[in-house]
Amino acid sequence: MSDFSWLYDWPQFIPDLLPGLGVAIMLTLFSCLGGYILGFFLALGVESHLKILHYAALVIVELGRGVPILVLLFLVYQGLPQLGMMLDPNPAALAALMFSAAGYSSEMIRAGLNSVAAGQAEAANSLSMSPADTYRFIIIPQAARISIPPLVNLTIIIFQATSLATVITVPEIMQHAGVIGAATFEYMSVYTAAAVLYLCITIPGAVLSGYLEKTMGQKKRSKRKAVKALLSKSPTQSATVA
Amino acid sequence: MTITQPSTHMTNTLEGSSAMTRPFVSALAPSKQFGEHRAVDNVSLDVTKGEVVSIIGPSGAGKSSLIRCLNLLESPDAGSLSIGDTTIDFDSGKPGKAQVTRLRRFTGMVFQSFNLFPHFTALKNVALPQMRVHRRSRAEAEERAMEELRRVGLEAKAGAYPTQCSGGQQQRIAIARALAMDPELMLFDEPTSGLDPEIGAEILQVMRKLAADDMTMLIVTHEMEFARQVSNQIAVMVDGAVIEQGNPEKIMSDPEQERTNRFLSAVLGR
Repeated sequence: MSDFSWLYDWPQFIPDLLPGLGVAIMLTLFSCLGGYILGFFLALGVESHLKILHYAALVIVELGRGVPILVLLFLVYQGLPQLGMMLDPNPAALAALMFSAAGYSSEMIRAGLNSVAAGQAEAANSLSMSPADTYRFIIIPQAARISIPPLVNLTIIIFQATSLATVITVPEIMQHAGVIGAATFEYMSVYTAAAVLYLCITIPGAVLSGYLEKTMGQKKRSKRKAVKALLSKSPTQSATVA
Repeated sequence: MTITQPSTHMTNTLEGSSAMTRPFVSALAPSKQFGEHRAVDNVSLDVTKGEVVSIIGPSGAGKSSLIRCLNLLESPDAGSLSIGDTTIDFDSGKPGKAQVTRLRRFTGMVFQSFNLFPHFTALKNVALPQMRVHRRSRAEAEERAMEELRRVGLEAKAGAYPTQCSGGQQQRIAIARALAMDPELMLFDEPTSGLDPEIGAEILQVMRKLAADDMTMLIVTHEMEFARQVSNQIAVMVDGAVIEQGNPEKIMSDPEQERTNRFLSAVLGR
């Protein structure tokens, strides 16, 4: 059937899909937020000198990265109830996506942490800074420059992966599209509208990640003003090295 | 490894009349092994308050390992170490966190590779550790930071990031950062080795000034002339052991050990 009306018909379905976009975005935000925090601790675990911790973290990371998200979704939604753990579709999808995000992100975070020169932690140690302060002020800010661009990319991938959650009846974009398609038979238009909605997020996301990759690591901050204020308070004669 | 209770192995010597003669730093046979290699082997070293001791010797002699042991960046496997009124005995296992922190409070460390925090300005490099460790207010810490930057002649660079500073400037900022923590002992691990000689001279100037201000210093260096002029004592280290220690002039001109003589002949080209 060579009907090209979908070429101008598709925008009318956008409003019906918007609630699904909201669900997809929320799902992405929460699963990434939780996943990256988990990923940070997994990265620390993998780096741990304690063998048990190291291997436990390694197993979780490899499961998160190695098991397809679709399989994770079914495992959580249909598998876990057999073990007595019933989850509604949204929390189930959140758990599956979070697990996957944790596995992938931990390797990105680990790469960032490892990129910080050993001398940085030594300097902080020699100044008696606590391990927590050393991480917070010295290691993490420097590691973030390396880790954030790939994490933005991962967030885009997780956003796309929320479409899979339709198989466990999460009311995201594809779920809405399927229902509308079945009722109207306008599959081409409806799924085109869905594709456009995804692109509305992924293309700006890709631009952002490209920009971050280029600019992170080189700072353009200027704190000279604050310092000038301090300088003007201090005595004018500078006791330079004799 | 065992974590020892702070009270068990830490002895607090009473401040008494002997305080003047008692060494401020006393390393009693600390040893450090990396795998098969014994980097520091039964080294004993005393430094009295206000004294400058230079450690010289061929590469791989364990000079850096020794100085890192003094700041507990490496934990010695054996021996004991006392700085000020705090003593740690390593024979009974790794020291506890509280002990390490206590001992480190006395010391400031300057590294060959500067190790400034690249994401902070010079001012913040010097101010932040004070705020976190000594709980000084920002204003207080920044004022002190400016004071120390002035002391090393770099107040104009306070707002600059490390990458905007030359190597010599970075090392001076690193010295200011250590000084702002009120150390009673400064450890220098080849502070000029990463710099060309002309720039290295800037650093040596700063160190001379510190020595003149009676700072207790332990310096690992290859700058023989500097070591001779500034030090009260020179220790010669070879294969993890101090083979000779004493008056700089004596060691430079008339060493007792043949090995010292060979080392000096090689580096001084005589």
